[in-house]
Amino acid sequence: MNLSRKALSKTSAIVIVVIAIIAVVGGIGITLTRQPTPSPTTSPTPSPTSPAQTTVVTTPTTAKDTIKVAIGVDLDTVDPHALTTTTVFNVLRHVYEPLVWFDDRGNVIPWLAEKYEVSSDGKVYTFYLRKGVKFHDNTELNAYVVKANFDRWLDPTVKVPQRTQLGPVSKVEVVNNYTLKVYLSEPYSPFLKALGTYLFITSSRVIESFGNKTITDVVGTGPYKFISWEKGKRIVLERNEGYWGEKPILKRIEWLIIPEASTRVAALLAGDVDFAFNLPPTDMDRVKNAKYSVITPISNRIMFIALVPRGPLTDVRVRQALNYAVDVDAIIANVLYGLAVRPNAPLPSHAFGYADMEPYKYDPEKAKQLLREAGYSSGLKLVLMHPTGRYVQDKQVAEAVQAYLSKVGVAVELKTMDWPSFVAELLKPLDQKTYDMVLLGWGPAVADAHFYLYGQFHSSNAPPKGLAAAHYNNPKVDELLDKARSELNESKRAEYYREAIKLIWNDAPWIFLYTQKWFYAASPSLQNYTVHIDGEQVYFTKAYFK
Amino acid sequence: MSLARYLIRRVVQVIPTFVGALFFMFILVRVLPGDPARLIAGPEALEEDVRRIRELLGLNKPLYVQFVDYMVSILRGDLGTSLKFGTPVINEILNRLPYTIALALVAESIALSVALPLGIISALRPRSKATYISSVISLTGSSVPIFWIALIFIYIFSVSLRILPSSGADSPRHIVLPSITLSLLLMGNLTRITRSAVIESLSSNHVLTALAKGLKYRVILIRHVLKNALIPIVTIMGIQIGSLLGGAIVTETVFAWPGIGSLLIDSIFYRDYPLIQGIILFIVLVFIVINIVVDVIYALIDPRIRDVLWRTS
Repeated sequence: MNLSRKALSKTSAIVIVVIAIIAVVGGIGITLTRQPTPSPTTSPTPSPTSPAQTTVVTTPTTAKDTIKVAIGVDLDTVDPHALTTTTVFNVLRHVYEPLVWFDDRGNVIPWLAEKYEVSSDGKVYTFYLRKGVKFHDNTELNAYVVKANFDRWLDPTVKVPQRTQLGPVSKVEVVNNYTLKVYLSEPYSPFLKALGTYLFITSSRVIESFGNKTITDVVGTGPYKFISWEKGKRIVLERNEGYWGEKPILKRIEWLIIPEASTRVAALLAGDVDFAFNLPPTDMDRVKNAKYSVITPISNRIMFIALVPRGPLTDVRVRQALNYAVDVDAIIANVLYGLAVRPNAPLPSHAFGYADMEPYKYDPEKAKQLLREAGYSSGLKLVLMHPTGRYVQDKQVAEAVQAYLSKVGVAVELKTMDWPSFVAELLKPLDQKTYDMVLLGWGPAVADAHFYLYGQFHSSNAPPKGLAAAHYNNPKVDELLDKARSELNESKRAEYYREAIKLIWNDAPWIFLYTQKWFYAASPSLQNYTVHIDGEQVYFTKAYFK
Repeated sequence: MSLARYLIRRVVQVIPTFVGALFFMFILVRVLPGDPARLIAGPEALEEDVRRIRELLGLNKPLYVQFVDYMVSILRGDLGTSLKFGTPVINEILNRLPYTIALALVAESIALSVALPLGIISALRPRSKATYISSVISLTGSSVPIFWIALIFIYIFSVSLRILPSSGADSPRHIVLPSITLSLLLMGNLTRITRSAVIESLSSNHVLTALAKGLKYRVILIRHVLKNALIPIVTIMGIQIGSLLGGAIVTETVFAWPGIGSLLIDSIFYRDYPLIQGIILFIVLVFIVINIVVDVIYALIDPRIRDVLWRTS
């Protein structure tokens, strides 16, 4: 009995150890077998496995031709008609192309369409397609393919989050193999800009095989081909040797998904990546001191504190007082490390339709005086709701605003929320609100006054229908925004927006804050990357290493 | 034979746990504020598009209909489709699983290979250097934020020394920093448990008897002390591996390690109900399996437990 027990315990101990070893080795084995093709050009030590691309290795003397880029979020989808996130647009714009595109000033230029015409009533757009353009699956771009893309975009059974943003497209007609007409049900002035931003064209083979299901096969006409996507890890693109336009210099782009911003800084400084998106402003000096190129492009995102029109905030004097009470320039310099600019309008100064207004200069005395006039000389109490981790330094900005307002006798209670709960709270109707002010950012993909003002100040977008957080309701502004939406004459359109902005500015439905800037950094040897006009996207189609 | 019967009984017992977990998950994720359709479409999206997406995802159906639909698909072995990614939930989980398993096992092995000797030595020689080292490790591992340790490691080994990659999961070299970081978190607990188990076992009557019999010290230590001390150690290891397989969220995020943890965070962020439910179900399953495995190991180590378990089955 004693003997058998001893023997058993010994065996069992061995079994446990063996199982543990097998499990560990097996675990590593799984990661090893899942290892993708090694990147032959960038690893500092020779790789033990044989490189998959011998063509690259045979020319060791030429400059580095793989770029590694650190991004903070993974792709959520590769369906060309379901994109919503800037980063995802940025990555996939190397693969997919739209019919029209933008020059470096933001003007619409021909792209897959080499020419286009607009009818005098603004309801019919004729596109003449570029000939000889091939998709990565070797099929040809023609009017039927483009129509198939439009049709899928409009198909209500397909998940297209930005469908309405493209405009009121009613039907698409093929005129001949390279010409098609797009009919709008009413004039829509930002149509071409929206088309260049949203509608990426994929091949008809892809559309036929996926139908209304999410597309997972990435086929475009762009300068790079989509090679692989390892979720949570990386996206690999390779140069399209048959590209119709100017061929890229770099052969391969690897987008590495690194969620933590501090790790992206470390990866850049360690030489693991050549370019890093969205870095923490607190690390700017360190990156500069290490001689990396610092890029601070201006984003499309306007930041503001929307004032909910109830209680004391229905009084315009109180709303203006709050604007005079906050020193926005000091917040930009001290809380945001300079990563913002202050426009004098409720939209970024690079957006179409921007009009400069008289700024609310920091003047606490004037704020106090306005509050006295409004009958709040003994102060008042307000609740400020803000998200955390959504915008650069969001919590810190809310705290700074709280401090400034307390100086003029406005006691602010902060209400911090995670993003999903925050959005749910925002969408509640006016009578169910649990806050008076809310810190919010608004960043349409198209830098045009329509997308800023319509989304935030047209009464039809007030919660619970939309996210027009200030519940702004001004029939005059509604009328101006509607007129501008269908006005094709750009200078007339700009004039409508100027009038609307003037009304909004004086009404002060927001504490007007700033336009967000980003902080990106690149290895000093990387040259000639392109910062897109909207400032958030960076393209590597012309980049090279010196 | 008896082992097989025991396992069958345990598996049958698991079913109500599973159904209960399903039900609670289903309710809990929907009680959270936040509308998946709005989160998927983005804040700038227009109401009409958001409403359409809600309909396409079936989120406009009454809750009980959604629950019945979900149960039916679960019974067919289908975890559903991710709202955000539009892909089968099971694929999303399986994509991440190998990374999570590798990280959990390597970290646990490192922790064990340090904690076991350290715990034993500090139990036997309370005033030795090993005891001080072990209490420093225990204290550090359980009190310093893992996030901070991770960043310090990256700065030392990747940025300054440039001997290990800062992030990613391409080669065995990539697992070194995350697994060591994670093992620090586990080591403290494991050392403490080992130490106290050995001390307790040392003072027990049968060890006293063995000593009185004049058995060799080494024999007593291995055969009588350690074997008895293994039970709490195995328990704590089971719990540790279980929670690691549920995703080491912080470590995975800092080192950009594409495991279950970062997937879970994303799915909660988008209120991706089927994906959250799928991952939680997976975690429930892992804990159930590990519990059974731990019980079986108990039985292998300790014949008294074996007798009790087998007999009641």
